[in-house]
Order: sequence, then structure tokens, then C-alpha cells
Amino acid sequence: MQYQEDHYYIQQTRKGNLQSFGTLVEKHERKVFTLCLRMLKNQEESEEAAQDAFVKAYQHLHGFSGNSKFTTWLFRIAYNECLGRLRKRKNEFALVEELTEDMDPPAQWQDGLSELLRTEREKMIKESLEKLSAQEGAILTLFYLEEFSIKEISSVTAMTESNVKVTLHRGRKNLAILLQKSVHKDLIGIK
Amino acid sequence: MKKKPTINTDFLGQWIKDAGSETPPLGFSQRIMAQIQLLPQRNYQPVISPLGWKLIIGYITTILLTVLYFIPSENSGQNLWSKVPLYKLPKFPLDKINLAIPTISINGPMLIATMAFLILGIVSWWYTYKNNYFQT
Repeated sequence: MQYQEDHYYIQQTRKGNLQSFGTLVEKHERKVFTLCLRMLKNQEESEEAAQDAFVKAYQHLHGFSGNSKFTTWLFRIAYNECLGRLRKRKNEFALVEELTEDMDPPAQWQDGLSELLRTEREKMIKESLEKLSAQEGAILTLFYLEEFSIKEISSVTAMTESNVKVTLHRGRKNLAILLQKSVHKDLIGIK
Repeated sequence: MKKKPTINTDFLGQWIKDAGSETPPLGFSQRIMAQIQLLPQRNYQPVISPLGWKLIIGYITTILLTVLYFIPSENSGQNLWSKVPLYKLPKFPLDKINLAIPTISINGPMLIATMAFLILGIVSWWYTYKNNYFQT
């Protein structure tokens, strides 16, 4: 489906056209749901969080000044919603297992991963992304999938730009280690 | 000492992109819209309505034009406002009741300004009243 610019739908919604907000939801539902899933690691809770984020966005649409991109604003709402849920769960730090580089990697493990079927590789990457911490998962998603700049990510997460860079670096490294472990397990058949 | 293997992460970005985004369950957006429809609908209105802006612009333009029109000429050096006749309120026959009340005299500019405010005030009040009355 061909969508128009976000501000068009925002203006229409402000005029009372509810259908326009529906289009806005359809346009961004995948992105918001993905961010929630990367942070919460749970399908049902991510669905609830994404829904709540959209409802909050609707309720506060009059406060959206348009100084930033609508997606930046929307992601900030979704990110905060997920953080709130994580705080309630109080296990956000328990999600990350201690990742170390001590194991001897099989030679050219990246090549091994490249050679996997695309669907298998995607599955493996998604599984590994789910093992990252909420922050790392969110930042990697925003940086690579949404192609947000460091400044935009900083605006979404309320972290300093240097903190974002550090988290991004750590997330990349942890993801590589997790992928390396998965490939290693596959290769030696001890899944 | 054994050197730790370095991890190349250059390829990760492309693979994350390839993995793509997640698809929400069926009926996801419909459920959101159903939730939103249950909320009290908000009518977003600008702080200054289009009519308000028209009145402000009209008022400023009137003042500007009036000022330009009444700018004193170089020859006379006299303010042209003075040419506007003074309006005197009718006198009551106070002498008959033996009461001393001061007479109010309003000069031209003051009278015009008061009239302009009154007219604009009545127009804006009428539109606000009309909008509120017909919306509710």
C-alpha cells in the first residue's frame, strides 16, 4: 500500500478523522511491534505494549509539535512503555546471560553463517537478538532496521549520544558472540 | 599468551536488515482502533482560531491605515486627529435638579478605538457562541 507522509495523517486526525489515525497505525505497526518484541521478548506482552503505545500516541497527538520525525516520537512512547513494563517485571537485567569470548570459535564462523539458508540465518539472528538486553536489542533495531542516527536514538531512549554509541558497540559484540555460539552448536551438533 | 580472537561485526547490520521486522498478530490495528473509539473523542482546536487570526489582522490593518491616514502633513505640522470633531454627550438639565455632575467629553481617536473594540468584541463573541451552541 502506498502511504502519504505522516504529517498528512496527523493533520487529518487532528481534524477528527479517526480513519487517518488507523492508516498511521497500519503504516507503523510492524516497526513498533518489532521494537517492543526486541525489548520485551514476549509476543503477548509486546502486542499489549505496542497497542498501548499507539493509544497513548493518539491521546497525546495534540502535543506532537513536529520538531522531530513522527516515528522518533512514536518510538519514544513505545520505548518508555516497554521500559515501564520491564521495571514492573524487574527482570530486565536477568535476561542477559554472561557473554564471553573465551570459547574458541570455529574457523570462519561468519562464512558458515553466510552459507546457511537465508531463512535459517534470519531465524538464528532473531533468536540471538532476543537474547540481548532490552536496551541493546532496541538500539540495534533502531540503528540497523530503522536506520536512525545516533542523535535520533538518543532522543528516543533519553540516553546521551556517547552512551548510545557504547551500547551499540556492546550490542553488536554480544550479538556476534551469540551468533558465534549458535553456529558453533550447529556445527558440532549439540543444540 | 593466547591472543583473543577478534570479532568482525561489519556484516551484522546487513543481516539484521535481512532478518526484517516482526509481523504483529492478525487484527492488531483493528484492536487498537477499537480501543481508541472507546476513548472520549477529542476535538483538536488551535489556540487562536482562523477567525481570531482574521480579527487580529483586520484590527492591525485598520490601525495602520488609520495612522497612515492621519499622519500630520509637513506644512501644517499639526496632528490630523485634531480635525476629527469632538463628540459631546448630551447634557442633562442638571441645573434644574441642582446637581453638579462633570460632563464627559470623548475625543475622536478614543471614540473610534472604543467602537472598534466593541465591534470586534461583539463579532468574536458571536462566533464563539455560535460555534459552541451548534457543536453541542
